[in-house]
Amino acid sequence: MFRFKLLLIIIFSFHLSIAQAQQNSSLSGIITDSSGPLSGASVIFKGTKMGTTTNSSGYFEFTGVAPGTYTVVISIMGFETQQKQVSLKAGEKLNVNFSLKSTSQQMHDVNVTGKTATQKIKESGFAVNAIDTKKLANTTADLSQILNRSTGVRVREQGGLGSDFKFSINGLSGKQVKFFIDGIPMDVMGSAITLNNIPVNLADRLEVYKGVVPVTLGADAMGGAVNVITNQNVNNYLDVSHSYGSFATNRSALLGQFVDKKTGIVVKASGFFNYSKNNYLMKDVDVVVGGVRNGKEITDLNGADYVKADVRRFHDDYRSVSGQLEAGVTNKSWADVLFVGAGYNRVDQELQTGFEQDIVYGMVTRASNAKNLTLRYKKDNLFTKGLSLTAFAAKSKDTYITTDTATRLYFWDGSYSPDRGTTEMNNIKNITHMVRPRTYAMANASYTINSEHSFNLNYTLDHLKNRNFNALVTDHDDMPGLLRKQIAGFAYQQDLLDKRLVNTAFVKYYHLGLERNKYINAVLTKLDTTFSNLGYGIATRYKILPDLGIKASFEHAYRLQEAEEMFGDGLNVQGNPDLRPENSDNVNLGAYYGLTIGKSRFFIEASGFYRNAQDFIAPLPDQRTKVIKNQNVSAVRITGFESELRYAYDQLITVNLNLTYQNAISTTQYGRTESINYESTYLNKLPNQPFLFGNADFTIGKDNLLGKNTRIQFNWLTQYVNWFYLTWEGSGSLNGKQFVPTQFIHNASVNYALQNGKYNLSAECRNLTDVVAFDNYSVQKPGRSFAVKLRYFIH
Amino acid sequence: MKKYISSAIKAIALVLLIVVINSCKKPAGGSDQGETKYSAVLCIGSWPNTAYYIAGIGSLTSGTISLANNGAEMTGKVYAQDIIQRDGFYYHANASSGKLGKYHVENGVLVTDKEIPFSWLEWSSYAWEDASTLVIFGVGNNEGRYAVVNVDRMAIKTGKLSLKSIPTGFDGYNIGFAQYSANKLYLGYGFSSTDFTKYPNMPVYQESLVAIIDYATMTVEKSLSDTRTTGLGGPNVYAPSSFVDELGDLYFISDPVNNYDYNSPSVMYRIKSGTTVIDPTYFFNFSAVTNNEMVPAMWYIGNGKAIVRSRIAGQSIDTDHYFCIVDARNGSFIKKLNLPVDKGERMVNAVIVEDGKVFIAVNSADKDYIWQYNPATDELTKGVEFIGGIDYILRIEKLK
Repeated sequence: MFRFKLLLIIIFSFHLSIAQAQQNSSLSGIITDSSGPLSGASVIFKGTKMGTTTNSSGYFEFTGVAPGTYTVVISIMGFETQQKQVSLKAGEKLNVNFSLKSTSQQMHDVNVTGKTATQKIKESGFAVNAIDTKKLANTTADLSQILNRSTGVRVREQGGLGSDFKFSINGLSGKQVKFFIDGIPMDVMGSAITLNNIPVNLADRLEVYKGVVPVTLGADAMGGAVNVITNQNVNNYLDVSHSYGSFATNRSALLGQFVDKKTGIVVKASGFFNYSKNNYLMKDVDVVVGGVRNGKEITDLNGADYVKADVRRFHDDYRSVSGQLEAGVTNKSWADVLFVGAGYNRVDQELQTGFEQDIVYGMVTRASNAKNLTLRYKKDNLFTKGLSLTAFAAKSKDTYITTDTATRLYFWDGSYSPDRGTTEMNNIKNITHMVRPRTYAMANASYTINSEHSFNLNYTLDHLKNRNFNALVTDHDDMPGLLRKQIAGFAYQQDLLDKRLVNTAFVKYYHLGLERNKYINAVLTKLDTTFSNLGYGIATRYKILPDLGIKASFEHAYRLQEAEEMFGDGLNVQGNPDLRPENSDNVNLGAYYGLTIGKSRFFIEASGFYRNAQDFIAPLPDQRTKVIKNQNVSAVRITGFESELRYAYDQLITVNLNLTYQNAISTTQYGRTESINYESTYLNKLPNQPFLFGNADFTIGKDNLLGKNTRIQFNWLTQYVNWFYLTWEGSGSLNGKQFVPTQFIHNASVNYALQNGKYNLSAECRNLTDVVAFDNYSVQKPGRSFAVKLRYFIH
Repeated sequence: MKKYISSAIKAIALVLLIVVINSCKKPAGGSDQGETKYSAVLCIGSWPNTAYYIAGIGSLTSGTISLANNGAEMTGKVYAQDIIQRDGFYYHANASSGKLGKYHVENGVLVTDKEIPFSWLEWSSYAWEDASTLVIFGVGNNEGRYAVVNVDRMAIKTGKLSLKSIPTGFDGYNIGFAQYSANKLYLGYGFSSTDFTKYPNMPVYQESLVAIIDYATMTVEKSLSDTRTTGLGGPNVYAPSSFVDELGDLYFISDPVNNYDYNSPSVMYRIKSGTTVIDPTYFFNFSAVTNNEMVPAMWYIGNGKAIVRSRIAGQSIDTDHYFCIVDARNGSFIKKLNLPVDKGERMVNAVIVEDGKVFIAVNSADKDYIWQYNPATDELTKGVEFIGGIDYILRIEKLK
């Protein structure tokens, strides 16, 4: 209690940075590992209360140390702890450097904050999952599968590789969650760059910010944000891998960097290729018997009947390819980093079903391609010490084409009736083009006044044109929508009490300009509007002990409208000029504790969360005209709890258990009919939302078991989603209440690494027990599948 | 400190345990509401979590209806309000999945009797030839099309209708009312455009058409036309806008605003029994006598009279509605019923007529009742009440 009071006093009185009297000796040094400085390493004087952590340059310093002999203990998760005796004479300024050895070359444990960066992020005031993906580089997982194993995250997929998915963080999802690569919005690079096709090798680590998002990620991420961090090391490496698995799934990834040490010139390349037929078995679906047939064509449906059968998906090929090349210089006096880059990515995809598996497609396809040009600049200590500038600019053009021209009704066995009154997607024949040229710029300046106070100013400009047209009718859009989004964020951070207390307060200013030409009373009229919104928040962490901390964060956050939502897309979406942005008040409270006993390491983390979100924008289809209009329709309150327990024994065993509970209730008081009475669903649990889910991950591995410099490792992962109602909990007869049943999906893999991880071979089995798995409206996901992966990695 | 931590871990474990235990309550069986003589199709929840239910109604004149642990879920089977009901069986054509299904409610569950592949047309209207034969009209590939369904076997026969061809500047048909009478089918239609770039000022083709179809051959025998109004009834899979009276005379009413025609009035026409012409002596301009109100739906209540659901003037079809009694036979307005303003959905099958009495579902801003109107005594009384916060009353149905 006393501690809590003290904490309050500290937070509110704001003035504690009393310098210690200086008289005695000092000790300083730099801690490194094989790839460079290690930040966040703990440096303590054994048997005393003196301790600190290294800064981003790996530097630590103790001043005012009484003369004497001390044992200095250097530790950080993922590295072997080092001890060293030092003797300090009166007035001596001793400098001692340490080099730590990694303990975990390829431990498979999602979320274990093994490395420095992830540990550091975890210990910020933000509610964040930090996942070290390097440890998963030998698996065939893509990023969304990895994230789906972490607390508070649910990825609901529509099918196999490349299928549409809905990503939710603590219950908020869709456009409320934003995705970034190295702080840049993922979709700036092109619509092929999505979490579910980026191979794990391309990422170094993943950060999931929940509800409260740092200003450095400049976006209207109301529900949270995912930031994919790629390898930023300035050394040579090459990482090539290929995997092959069930459903003709082939996935390749290439990642390489060449550094010319003499000139400082760096060339960086990354790319991936994914292909799958996704022809997995659909169990117990409707196929048609009878009718008059000519091959696959049912010329006369009269007399045809449905029967249930197990059949393979037949129209679900997916291919994505991406290449990104960057070249530049590092470590110049005028730039720490200056890169120019160019990229191309492309997706070709067949669509098999609509939103429910009763809607079967046999001809609908989707394709997208994007080109981008990028410029990246970074300079620390610009003009003055402590001032860092990061800037990024990109120009991209994204084209997204949906082809729906067949007037056929397809059935699950691949047969079809040619006499459908509409197209497969229940529309007029269309080849819908969505062309989006985009200019994006971001600048971030941070200024560290001293070890206790720092500022961060972030600005992003996003200029997006949106052209939609049906290529069967026209080849252009006369009236493209235009979006100009500017977000300025300012954060102030305090690191008080020897960095035991960290406070970050921030404001975000959103400015949105939207524009579209439209015919109003047959006159072409320019519609435009601008909005400004102010968001704000705070994140706090207090370390009670070096490995015990409590965290709290809050943000009043927005999700801004898009041009199509406000003004329509000229095809099927009508405008709604009265649309307001979505907004939410998000709160997180949490604590973590780490404990090391001998070779056993425990880490427990628990947090509670609260989201109060209003004015959800939803596209409401008109039943008869099929025209869609976006409206602010609903409000949701989510309270939840998540917890994670990790255990590791040396390099032998890691266990990771997590569980998330979230209670999302409707706070929409009134439906669309005018009424003085609350709608019956007010304060009811939202339907069709998983509310309890968890993961259990177990890894056992041994070095040098099958030869020198090898490691063999076995992993078991069980994913659990509790049953949930498909419709409102409180309504409808209990006899017929539909629910999505509880699912347990088991996965297992074996990895074998040779020559210290230069050659890696792995075999995996997903959905080992071949249960019927689904996320949405009972749309079946793949059953049991196998994959092998080969990876060559030099660095 | 360790003690605190250990208690904290224990507390967390306890919370998790409670969560697990609570959440593992499986949906349990409930009480059976028994067979009812009437039902209502109700909608609750805001998008995207709107859900439809069929709730049984024991009595139209008293009691309450709530969806709390009551009503058959329609999600996953019939996620719609365009439903044809007869003898307790519900029929629905799902345009997305291409299924035409027959369903009924049993012990609070919507049971699928049979589903057949059906994508020949997107349905708009229907007429019963007899208790087993349902004729469906709609559009497919921009053609007028029909399907004759034997609902006992769910067997189907399909064909095309030779409607008047679509004029330049328009790209579709609007199918309106459908009525069966004496071996003939009467089908109202007009033309529409899908060019929404000029919305809400959509192109209007100033002509209303009625196809007279010989049931035996399903050929269009005659086409009738009138240019004084457009929008001959909305699709009657939502609500009817025509009827045949005891004399065999056919009445139908137009809703031009539903066709984006903001100039024409809502007009009632008649085709007298034994003739195949729009009665030239009959023209009931409903809008002219009601402050330019429009009529999206109409039900016959006997003795040449009808009840209409009328919509206040304006370009919107999502606005307030009233109920009025009209003398169809004489083409005159009788009265506006003294009911609360109907704030409900635009197309509601809101009326059941039984034993000469009229039962009217009203989605009001206050309380939602089915009202009873007795044309003989001109009395209006409150009946069964919908409680618990229903968003929309979409249909009320007489099952037996």
